Amino acid sequence: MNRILVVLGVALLTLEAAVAVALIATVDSTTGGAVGGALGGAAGGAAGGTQLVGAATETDWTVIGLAITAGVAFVVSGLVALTLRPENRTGIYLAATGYVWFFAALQESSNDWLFTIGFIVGNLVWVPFTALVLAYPTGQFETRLQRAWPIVTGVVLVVPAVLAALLDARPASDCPECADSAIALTDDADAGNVLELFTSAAGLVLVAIVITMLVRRWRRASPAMRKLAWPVIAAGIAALGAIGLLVVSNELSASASDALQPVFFVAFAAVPVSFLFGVLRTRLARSTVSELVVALEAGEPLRDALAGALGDPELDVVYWLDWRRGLGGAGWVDLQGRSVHEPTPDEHRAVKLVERNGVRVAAIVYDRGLDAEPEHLEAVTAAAALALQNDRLQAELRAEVGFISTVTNTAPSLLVNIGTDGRVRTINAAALEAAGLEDEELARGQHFWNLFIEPSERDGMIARFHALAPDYPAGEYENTFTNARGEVRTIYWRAAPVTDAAGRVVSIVSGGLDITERRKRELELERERDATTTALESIPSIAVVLDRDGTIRDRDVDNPGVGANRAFRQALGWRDHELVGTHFLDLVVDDDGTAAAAIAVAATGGASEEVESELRCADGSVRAFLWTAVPVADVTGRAEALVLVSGIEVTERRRLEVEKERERAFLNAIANNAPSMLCLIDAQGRLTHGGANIAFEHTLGYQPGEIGDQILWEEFVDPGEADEVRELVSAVATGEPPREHDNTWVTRDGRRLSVAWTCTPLPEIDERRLFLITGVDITERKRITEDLHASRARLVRAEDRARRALERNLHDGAQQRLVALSVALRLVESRLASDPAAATELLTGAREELTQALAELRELARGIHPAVLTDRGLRPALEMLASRTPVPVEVVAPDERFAPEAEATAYYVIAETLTNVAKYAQATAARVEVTQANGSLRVFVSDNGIGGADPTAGSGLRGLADRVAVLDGTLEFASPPGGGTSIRAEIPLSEESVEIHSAP
Amino acid sequence: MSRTVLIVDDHPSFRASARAMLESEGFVVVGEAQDGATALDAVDRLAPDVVVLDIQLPDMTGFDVCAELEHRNGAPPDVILVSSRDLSDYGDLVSASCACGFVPKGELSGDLVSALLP
Repeated sequence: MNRILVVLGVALLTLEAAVAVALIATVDSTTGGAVGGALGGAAGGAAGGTQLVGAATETDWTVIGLAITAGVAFVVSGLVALTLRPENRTGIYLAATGYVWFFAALQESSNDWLFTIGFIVGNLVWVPFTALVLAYPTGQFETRLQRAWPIVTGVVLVVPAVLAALLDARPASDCPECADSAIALTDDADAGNVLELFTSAAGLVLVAIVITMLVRRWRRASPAMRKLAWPVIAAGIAALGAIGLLVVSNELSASASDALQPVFFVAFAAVPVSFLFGVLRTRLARSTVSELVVALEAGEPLRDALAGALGDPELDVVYWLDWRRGLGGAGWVDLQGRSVHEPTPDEHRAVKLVERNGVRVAAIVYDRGLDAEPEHLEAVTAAAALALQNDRLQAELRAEVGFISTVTNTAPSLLVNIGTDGRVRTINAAALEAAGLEDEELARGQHFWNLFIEPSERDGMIARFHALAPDYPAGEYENTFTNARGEVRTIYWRAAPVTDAAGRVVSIVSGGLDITERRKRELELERERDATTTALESIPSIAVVLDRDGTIRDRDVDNPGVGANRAFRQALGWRDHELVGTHFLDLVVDDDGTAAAAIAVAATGGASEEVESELRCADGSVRAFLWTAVPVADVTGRAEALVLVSGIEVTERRRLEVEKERERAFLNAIANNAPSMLCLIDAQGRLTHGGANIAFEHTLGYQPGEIGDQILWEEFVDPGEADEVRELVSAVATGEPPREHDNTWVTRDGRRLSVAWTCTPLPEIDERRLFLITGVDITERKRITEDLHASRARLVRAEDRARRALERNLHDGAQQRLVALSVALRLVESRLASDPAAATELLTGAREELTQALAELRELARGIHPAVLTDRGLRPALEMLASRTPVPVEVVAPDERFAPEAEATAYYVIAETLTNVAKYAQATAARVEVTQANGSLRVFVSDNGIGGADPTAGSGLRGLADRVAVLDGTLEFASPPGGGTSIRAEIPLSEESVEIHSAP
Repeated sequence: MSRTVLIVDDHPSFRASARAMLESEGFVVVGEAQDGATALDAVDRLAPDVVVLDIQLPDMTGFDVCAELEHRNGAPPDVILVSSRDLSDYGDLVSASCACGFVPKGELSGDLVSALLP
């Protein structure tokens, strides 16, 4: 068994040495020398160590051999790795493991100090070893825990060893032949045992944790990474597993431990050997490259060949197309020429740009694990560079074709490639659409004239086409045809021949532009222009087109000399040639700046306000126009802005306005001078401002300007009648005919007026309904009427009284006497025969009775109406009246006769007054004076009595006044105490009555 | 047997003519009165058989005086109403009154009065 192990160990060492020599031979001499030196040092060290060990103890040479082999293997591998990848820490970890490993051998020394150093330092070998397996193959730790772990390991293993060496004089308890601790302070074997046990337990835990970490990394690793790293990782796990078992067995049985020791050494030494194996495999990859080249030549797709050669099945290749850069997107495409995202490295994938002759060709996206073998990657990509270039060109071509095809099919232009036989070879989507076809196959092979030429024109087209052979020179034409869908299309074509290398025409490419819509629009525009011109010519409004500086220009360059429209020329009388070039403002009479401002506004693109101007006519007269200026485009589409002045004539309107203004002033004058109250109200009864005339203000006691906004029936009408007035106005508003009403109105100071008023609806103006209220203050008239009625009633009563008095007088006077006379005469009749004397006496009595009766009747008749007045006139009647008055009366009266009612009225006024004088005045003289003046009879009666008469006492004076009033006369009475009494009456005389009664 | 008469009228000339007329025809004129109140008083005092009563008296009408006499104690005198107006001027008033009859003043005579008395 041991022999086998020795042979195995020597074989390993030999292999390692051979590998090292092979590797060193491949690197340059400087590095090789260094490596050789180091290797020599290590070998020397190992030999020295072995010598010491040999001198010290007797031990199993098998074990020693294996231990040395392992240490040398690590050192050699580390130096090789450092030489090949100086930047990769894997070499350091390998070499460090080897060197520290040799220090552990010092434990075998019989020298106490050497033993102590070996005892303490020995376990440190696991620090670089842990770092090696955790960071392999990149030499970089993936996590912070991994980075810290070697340090944790060192602390956990070394500290207990130091403590054991301090506390226990013989720390290696299971090694009776080992030396003692040189630094022991006490000799506590128990403490040493405990610490040893702790170290073993901690070691097991550490081993377990590291193995766990490795397994997890392995599971996460990509296939390429696994392929690369598996030998070292596997050897590492094996070595760790072996040490774990060794530790456990050490505690359980010495024999088992001894048996396991060689196994551990082999597993441990396998780690650097696997590393070297991996390196060697990379070196041998040159053969992989040649296989790649062969595969590519055999036609294997480049990507697949690369994936195989690099052991990365997910490898991807993208190509760089410079010319696409200008199109916006990234310049990366796949082999089919389709645009792809720019390749970017991430956690798992790295990107290698492939360049050729300094020009970027492609990018390989590969597993990041392949970075551990950069030479391999370089070699493979270099080998594939030519193929990549070819593939790139292929991709470029595909992309280009795709692009052109896209362009052709999305371009609005029609493209048709026609053979010299006139048949369509290829046709793009736009041309197909213009032909009215759905499927390209329907067009391909057809004669182009069947697709694009109207049947009636086909023969001519065929003849012309053939006439162009064989050169088919470039040319252009426009044609209109009805396509397969029956749509009329107009196409502008341009054709050019395509020639082959020999200069023969192989086909004709015809490019077309569908101008159907444009042609239509042109026609519409033309019609529109015609319509506009016609409209401008025929409208009654004036219109004239100006340049921006205000000069009148041709309205249409195609029709020179038309500066202004017909209405303008007719209204103003100017001729076209006189207007064109004239400044418009020169036509404006006395512009105050508004016309110039309006032109300026339109010239800067705005629309002007309405302007009213007077324009000068050709005949020197002036007419008024209301006009605006707006910016317009030139009808020919030229860019510069023009100004259109358009307007209507308002001369007549102005005249009417003046007339209307006059009319209004006239009406206002009437309204304000009318005696009636006038006001305007709306349907709610609200007075308009200034809507009341002067009579309204005066009558109701308001100052000018105070009327307005009041509600008619709230402000000016008695509250008790407000509702009635409101309803009357509402009735008119709802269509009832206006009628006169009589209501009580109230003045500003609270006086009540009787107002006869009417509400009349006015024509609706500006959607406002207004009503005219006209009113007349009839308070005075009403009072007079009432007085008249009272006076009439009094006259009737007076007459009634007079009749009753007359009846009583007749009855009591003359009638009684006649009754008595009748009785007396019958007595006479009965006595005449028997007693004549008595009869005679009775007759005498009867005669006296009769005389009395006659006298009473005469007196009565005079009281009713004096006959002298009727027969002889006023003056004789007055003189007789005076003669019968007990007071001396002077009478002055004209001899003329007057109207009987005037004479009678004057007579009764005087008679009644003289009666009063006789009864009450205690006067000694009275005077009666009657004169005629101003169509009236004036009566004046005065006395020199005591005065102080009360005119209201008794009905006499009142009755006289009534009597005078009937004839529209007046009666004045004055009776100051002690100043006598006088009555003055004025009785109007109507002319006809004067004539009638003065005639006989 | 001669009947006694009271003449009631406010006109003295009529009273005198009536007295002369009635006395000449056999009546005994026992008194005269010029108004209603005096007449009522005279009837109480003189108890005439007949009262020749003017309808229009200054203080009351002959109808009133007649009605008043009806309501007095004892047998009322027979009343003959006289007036210078026509009978038709009074309508139904005369027939509705308690008077025995009506004689126009101008036609007054003893026979006419006797004819009207019951």
